[in-house]
Amino acid sequence: MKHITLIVFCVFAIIASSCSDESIDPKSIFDTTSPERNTFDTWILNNYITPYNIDFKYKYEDKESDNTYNLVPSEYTRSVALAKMVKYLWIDSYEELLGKDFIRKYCPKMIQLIGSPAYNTSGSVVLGTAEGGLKITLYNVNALNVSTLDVNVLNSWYFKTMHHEFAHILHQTKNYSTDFNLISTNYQSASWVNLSATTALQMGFITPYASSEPNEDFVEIIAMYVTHDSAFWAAQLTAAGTTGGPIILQKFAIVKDYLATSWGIDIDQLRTIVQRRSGLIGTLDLTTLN
Amino acid sequence: MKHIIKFLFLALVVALFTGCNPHEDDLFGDSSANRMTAVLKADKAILCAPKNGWIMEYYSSANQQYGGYNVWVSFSADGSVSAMSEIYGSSTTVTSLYSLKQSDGPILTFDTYNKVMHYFSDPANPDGIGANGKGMEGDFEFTILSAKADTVILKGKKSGSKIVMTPVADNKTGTDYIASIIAEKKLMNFNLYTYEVNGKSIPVTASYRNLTFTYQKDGNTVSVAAPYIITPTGYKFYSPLTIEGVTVSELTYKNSGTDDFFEPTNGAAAKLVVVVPPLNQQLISGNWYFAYSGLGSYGKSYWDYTKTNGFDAIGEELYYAYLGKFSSGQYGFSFGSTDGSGVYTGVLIYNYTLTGTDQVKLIFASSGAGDGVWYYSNAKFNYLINPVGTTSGRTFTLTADDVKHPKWIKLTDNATATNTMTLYKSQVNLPYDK
Repeated sequence: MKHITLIVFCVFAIIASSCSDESIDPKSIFDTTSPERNTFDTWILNNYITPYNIDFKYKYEDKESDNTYNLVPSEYTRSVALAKMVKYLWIDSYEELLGKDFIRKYCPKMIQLIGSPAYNTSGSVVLGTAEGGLKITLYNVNALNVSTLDVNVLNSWYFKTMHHEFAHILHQTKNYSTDFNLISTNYQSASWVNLSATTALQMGFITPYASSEPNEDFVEIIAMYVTHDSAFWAAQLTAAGTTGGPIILQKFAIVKDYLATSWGIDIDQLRTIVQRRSGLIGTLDLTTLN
Repeated sequence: MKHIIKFLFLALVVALFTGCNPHEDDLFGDSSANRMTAVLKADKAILCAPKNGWIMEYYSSANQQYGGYNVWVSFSADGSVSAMSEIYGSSTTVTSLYSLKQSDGPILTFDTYNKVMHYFSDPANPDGIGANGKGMEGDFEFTILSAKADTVILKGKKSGSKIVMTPVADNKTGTDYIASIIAEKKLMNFNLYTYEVNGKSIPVTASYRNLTFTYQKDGNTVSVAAPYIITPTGYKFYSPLTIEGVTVSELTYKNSGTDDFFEPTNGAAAKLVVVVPPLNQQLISGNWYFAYSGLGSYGKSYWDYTKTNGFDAIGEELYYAYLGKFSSGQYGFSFGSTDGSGVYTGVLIYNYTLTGTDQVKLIFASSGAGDGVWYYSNAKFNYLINPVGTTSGRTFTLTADDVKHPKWIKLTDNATATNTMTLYKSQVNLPYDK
């Protein structure tokens, strides 16, 4: 029995050694070294990532793309041009109006560029998608003609989408008045594709897509108003006629009030800034990365 | 009793020792993340090594329906890649970026747009191949199945096509190789063959670079598709083809002076003989363009009438006209008329009957597609197409400059000697002036 102390001691020693942990590899499997950056990557780091925490992805990534579509990547020089234009026409517009902190807080955190359109089986194409206010995908970048910029093409393919998606982020953060949803009673949901632009206007919707549901209606008004000049807006109201015109104006009043009250955004001032910048787009250097 | 206690203690110790011991033998020598990083680094070194680049035997689509195309690529350590292909020719080299990353396996991706490389993936193919939204269904992201200095084997991520890359020898260039492919391609412009093997003659049709062999096997009719790629000497199949017990992987093109044929490179007993379709077959299977100068006096007088009373009256010009398929797929007198800013297209539909090798009867079907009917009713196109045939039809005898590769086909009306039309293989724009 005098050996029992020794035996107990040995037992505990063996348990202790066998239950010890294997030492952990000090090198983490998550690579924390800086990735290789070319001039464009560095420019993005300085102009998107550091100031706004926006990941501007110009290279195709299968994980970030919809695999049901056949797509091709965005071309490098066009990616550069679009990166500069998005900063100038969209980010800087909001920054000019409300300062850096606003856009920094509410902007989507990832912008993914795709070279080709995404063709739907119906023959229509996807212009851009936004997911949960975090990521915007812009398609058909390769159609961009960098030497002859057409502001209308830019707007319809890229910038209207960006303002549209950003407006979604805003109203998902702070709701707009539900009175808006009561103005129109004839929302079309998926049948919006069957409406012509004129029919939609006369029904009181600024675009056919606006007729799909109230949220889309709301943001389409903002996007269309801001990316076009006042002459365009007046023409739309005229085309909407006596049936559609007053409806659109009623909706617009709520939109304008919401932006001013909830966000301190004067929509007319925003439009002035965006239009001014759109007019100057031809003077932008879209190739130098400094 | 104390022996039992000692025994139990020992048993407890053993149990604890084996149970608590976390040491497990690693199956692999290192963690998966580290191994992947090492593989990607090694793969990059192999890809960047050949100073004259690689030749890629590129196949697109899940069933390789369009066949294979030669693409030359050269990778740089700085992340850029240059590409050249037999589609755009040896004087077009485009540079873009590539990445090597981990997805399901090591992936090589051409992740910024390259006109040469992405020709096969573009959902709206520049040459209109494939439907919009699909294109040629080629990949630009590849799983690296194996990478050695003398061969790299890739697998397309979506299509699953196997793509083999071979380095260009130090004393040759990609430009030379692509140029040799293009030169060879020009000699081998065929779409109908007969495969002679084991005493049988098997009909073979072609679509893009895909041959379809139709033969009898165990009493059933079997159709086998054999996609192929062009080599400097002939055709190489995507996978070896076995018909009637004879296996062939590569064919060498030969020309006996009058006949074109292919023989298996491995010396197997078989022969792929090129069949020249009869002239009338060639007429109705292609697009053959009108030119005013190619018309006989009969045709000219109808065209003159249409010019004055049709085109001039509506302020338009005939941009092109051909006998062939319209974009709707219907055969007939297909045209484009321009008002200076846009082109209005349409077709006036014809039915045809082929007799022998050089006779064709063209019958106007009294219908049209696109703007065909409008121009028939409003721009005197009923006169314009009269020489081609009315509802009662016209029968023509065909002649050509070279029956094997005709550049023009002349149609002579059997009933009216002055009604002749020479139609051209290449597009003729503004035919009234040509």
